[in-house]
Amino acid sequence: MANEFDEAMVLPPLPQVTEETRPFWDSCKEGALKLQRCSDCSEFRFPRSVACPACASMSYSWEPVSGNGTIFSFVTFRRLYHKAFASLLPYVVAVVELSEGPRLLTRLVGLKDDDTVKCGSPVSLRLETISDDLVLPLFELAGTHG
Amino acid sequence: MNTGLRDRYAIVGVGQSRLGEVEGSTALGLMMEASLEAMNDAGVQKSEIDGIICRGPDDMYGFHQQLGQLLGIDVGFSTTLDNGGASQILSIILAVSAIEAGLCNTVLCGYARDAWSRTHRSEEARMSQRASGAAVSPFARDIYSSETFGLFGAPAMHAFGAQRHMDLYGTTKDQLGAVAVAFREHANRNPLAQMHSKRLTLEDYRAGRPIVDPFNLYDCSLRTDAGGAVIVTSMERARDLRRAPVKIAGFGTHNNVSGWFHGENMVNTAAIQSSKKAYQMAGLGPKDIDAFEVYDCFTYMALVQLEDYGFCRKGEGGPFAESGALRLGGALPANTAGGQLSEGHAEGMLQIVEAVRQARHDYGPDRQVKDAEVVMVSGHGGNTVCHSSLVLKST
Repeated sequence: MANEFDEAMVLPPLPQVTEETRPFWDSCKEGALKLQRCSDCSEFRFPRSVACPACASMSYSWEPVSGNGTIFSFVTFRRLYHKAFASLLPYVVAVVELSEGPRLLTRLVGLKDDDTVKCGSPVSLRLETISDDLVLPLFELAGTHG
Repeated sequence: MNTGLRDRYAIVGVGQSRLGEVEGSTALGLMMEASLEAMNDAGVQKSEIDGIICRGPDDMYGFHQQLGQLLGIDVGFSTTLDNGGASQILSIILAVSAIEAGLCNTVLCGYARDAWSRTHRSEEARMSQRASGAAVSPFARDIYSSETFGLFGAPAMHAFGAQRHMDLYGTTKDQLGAVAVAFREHANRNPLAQMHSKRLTLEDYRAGRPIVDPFNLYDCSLRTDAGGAVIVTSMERARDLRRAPVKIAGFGTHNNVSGWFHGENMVNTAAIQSSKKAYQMAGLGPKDIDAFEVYDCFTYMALVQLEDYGFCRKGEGGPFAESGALRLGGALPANTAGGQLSEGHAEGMLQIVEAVRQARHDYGPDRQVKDAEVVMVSGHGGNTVCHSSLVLKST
């Protein structure tokens, strides 16, 4: 399947899929992002952990999230650090705060030249297939899909 | 806060190695150069050193052991630290703690790196640096899989904070530029500084090569080979030594290990709590500080610490920097040797050395902060969330 890294003919550094992170990456492949949710206090959490950062409970399940959030902060790469990203420069990496609370590190896609990105801008999830084994949870400015 | 420690310990000697692009140098060699100069400055024989707390490149195991081996000494206490740029002040805090605990009496604290040489030492190193910057691993290394999403390097991590500060408080690029320009002017007065002969105007700053917005080249510190060292001992012992001791009036630490992306840690940094402890121990406040040797891995980190150390209110670091306050002769002369942006990046160690020299009035009028008695030093690092503070006082 065609993806944004085809032109560079090289993939970015890949996530280390472990027993702890596999449900996260599998949920992206299945088309609905899931995060850990505490079975005791109901808080969602990210990054993954065996225990809830709010109440320290070790009971949890993987639950789908809405995919809606706002930009907490962002940076725009203008210098190339890895050749996989050569055709994407300049590109925006953002910390997105999901409406469920957790903050994800992600990259913004679908930006047009006249788009304004600000801390607080609403964004929504866009799952991007990179390879048979990898679907990334990227984000776009809300209401721009189409 | 143990205010009983106030003024009971001192820095009695300082040293620094050759600095800059020191072809063929190694971190351990530079550490030795700085250590021997510090011992000579203090008038302390190596046989009198019974503590070593130091740090080198993070991939060198047991740096303190390697330094001790080259010095040919055994010690009562030694260790290598792991708090990034906050480690260097932490080495002094631990030195005081270890002496207080009776584990040792005279401690060599230091840091050295060969950041320039190691990436220029071999053709292979140069190629990998050029091809991919910091990232040579096929796998993302951190808990956020940062590299998978295109996030590389320390500049970007700090740029998140700068961008949020700009959006919350209206901080401008020119205000970040005011930090870079002020420190460069100080480096122009310091013949040892890496950027000694290179002027930087605000216009030059604006035209800087883009790196990762909101940072350009001049927002980022230098790639430096350098070592720095200080000798710490008790005030009783200090009185018998060669130089006027500089008193350790207070210190503090705070580590926002919940992470840079947690809460408002990127705009309300760990410097808030760390500096508060240091002021309390010293019995002093922001108005008592005559000079500020501030950890400036990036312009933004210096700017936000102006607020977090209480020199201005939250959100006003930009206008404060733009007012010219940071220049020699200004309200708060800062990084009077040029800082990591323009003197050379030794993870805050050279800031400690400079603070001692200012408190001792080592300089002529072109570089000396007039009547400097109290100097604040800051250290920041370890994935951007560890902080340490040190208040030094003239005797």
